[in-house]
Amino acid sequence: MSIAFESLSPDQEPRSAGTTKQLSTSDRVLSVKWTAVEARSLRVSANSFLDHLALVLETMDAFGPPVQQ
Amino acid sequence: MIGCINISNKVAGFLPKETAKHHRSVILTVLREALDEASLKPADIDCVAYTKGPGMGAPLLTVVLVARTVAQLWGKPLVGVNHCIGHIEMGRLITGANNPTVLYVSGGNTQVIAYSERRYRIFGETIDIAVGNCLDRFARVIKISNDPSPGYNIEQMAKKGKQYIELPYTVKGMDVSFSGILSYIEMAAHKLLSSGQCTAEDMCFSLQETLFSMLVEITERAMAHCGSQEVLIVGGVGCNLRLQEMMGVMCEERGACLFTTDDRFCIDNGAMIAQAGWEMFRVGEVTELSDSWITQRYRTDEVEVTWRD
Repeated sequence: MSIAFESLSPDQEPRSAGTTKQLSTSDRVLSVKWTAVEARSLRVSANSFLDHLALVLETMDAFGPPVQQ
Repeated sequence: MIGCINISNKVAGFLPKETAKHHRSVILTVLREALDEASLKPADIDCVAYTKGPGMGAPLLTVVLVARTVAQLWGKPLVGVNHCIGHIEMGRLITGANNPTVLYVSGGNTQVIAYSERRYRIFGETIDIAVGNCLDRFARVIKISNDPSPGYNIEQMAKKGKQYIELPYTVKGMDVSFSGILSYIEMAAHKLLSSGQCTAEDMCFSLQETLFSMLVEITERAMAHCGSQEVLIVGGVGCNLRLQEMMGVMCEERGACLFTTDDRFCIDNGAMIAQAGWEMFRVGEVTELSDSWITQRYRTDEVEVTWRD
């Protein structure tokens, strides 16, 4: 869970879009809170977030589990 | 090292969405194959280098997501690399050039770079489109095939050119401009061809001679500024043997050495990001996860070069 959180957190929404996105984790749940001015920009942001999440999950499937340090 | 790309669109070059889709569809397989071919386990890896920029946002983002994830899975640091510096460091490694004046010529970039005081400083660059972009778009005007690449086909046709058509020559101080030349040739092409005043081969020849003369001129001036005796050509257009030949003549006249690589290293590749990443990692440079964003604009001279004297 924290891996997905860390992989998805660093990228900011483009400032011009007027959309903000806040990620948080608790237990085994990854939460995302969006604020947007327009429905359209919210949809774009949510859609691309889901694409990114799917890629991160596929990567974890392909190259996980984490190596013990 | 992750590297693979050959998806240029038949009519319009690379498009961000399609390129990201391509990266997305192959990245995990390529990473797996790279590890298998090299017989490496995650434990053998020092760090995960990724391209921070410059480039199209969507493809950069696709790659950084995977880089962040595997870095965490393997417990390795990330190293964010400037694409242009990847070219320079790869060129230095392959050719053994020590402190060259670098001509970086590709579809997206045209820069003359020299190292000074911890930066790769840009001495001259294009003020509009890149030289490779100019060649590609010219190829589309006179319908030259994209297979294997427009630049390669122009190069082959230019060998059969017999007469030089006068074109604008636009060196502006240390900088060059190509968009005017492209507009000129776009307007003149069909008239010249249909009237039989010249052949498509003549136009390829004339365009190459003009563009490359401009590049050689600003490279020579940068060498004179820095007292440099080495030239390194990197980037996709650097494969062009005529450009290498013209640069070679200039170098010989100055008693300088020319360093070039072939298409395996000239064209964008993953190994160059790995090489630059390794140089950075060697001196202790790592990118924290929280700072591992990507940026579409990232100039060569923004990076402090800590790994060279």
